[in-house]
Amino acid sequence: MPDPNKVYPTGLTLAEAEELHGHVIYGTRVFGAIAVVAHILAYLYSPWLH
Amino acid sequence: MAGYTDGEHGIWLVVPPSVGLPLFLGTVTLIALLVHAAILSNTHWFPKYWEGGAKVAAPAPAVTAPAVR
Repeated sequence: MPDPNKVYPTGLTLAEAEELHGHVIYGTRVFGAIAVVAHILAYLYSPWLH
Repeated sequence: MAGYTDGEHGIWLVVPPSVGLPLFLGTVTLIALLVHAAILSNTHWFPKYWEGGAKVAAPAPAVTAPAVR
């Protein structure tokens, strides 16, 4: 079993690493969603790829 | 042995967030800047788009009234 109190070399515990990574993933998804919308608009309203 | 640190979150047990996050976000920013610079320097329409509402064409000549006889 993992030791929930173990502090890894980065100074984080496993739970903290999981929480942080959740934020990273969420931010990446939001960024990706905005990027998809931006690319659709760019394709529709600019000569890009036409 | 397969660790409890398996999985992508395990990276933060090896790479400090103070290093990994700026590296990650900085890479994304760098790529975005490079792509925009490439489009800016390889197309005609993108610089024009950023130039904004600069007038590109002379105003149309005034319409003259048709001659009436």
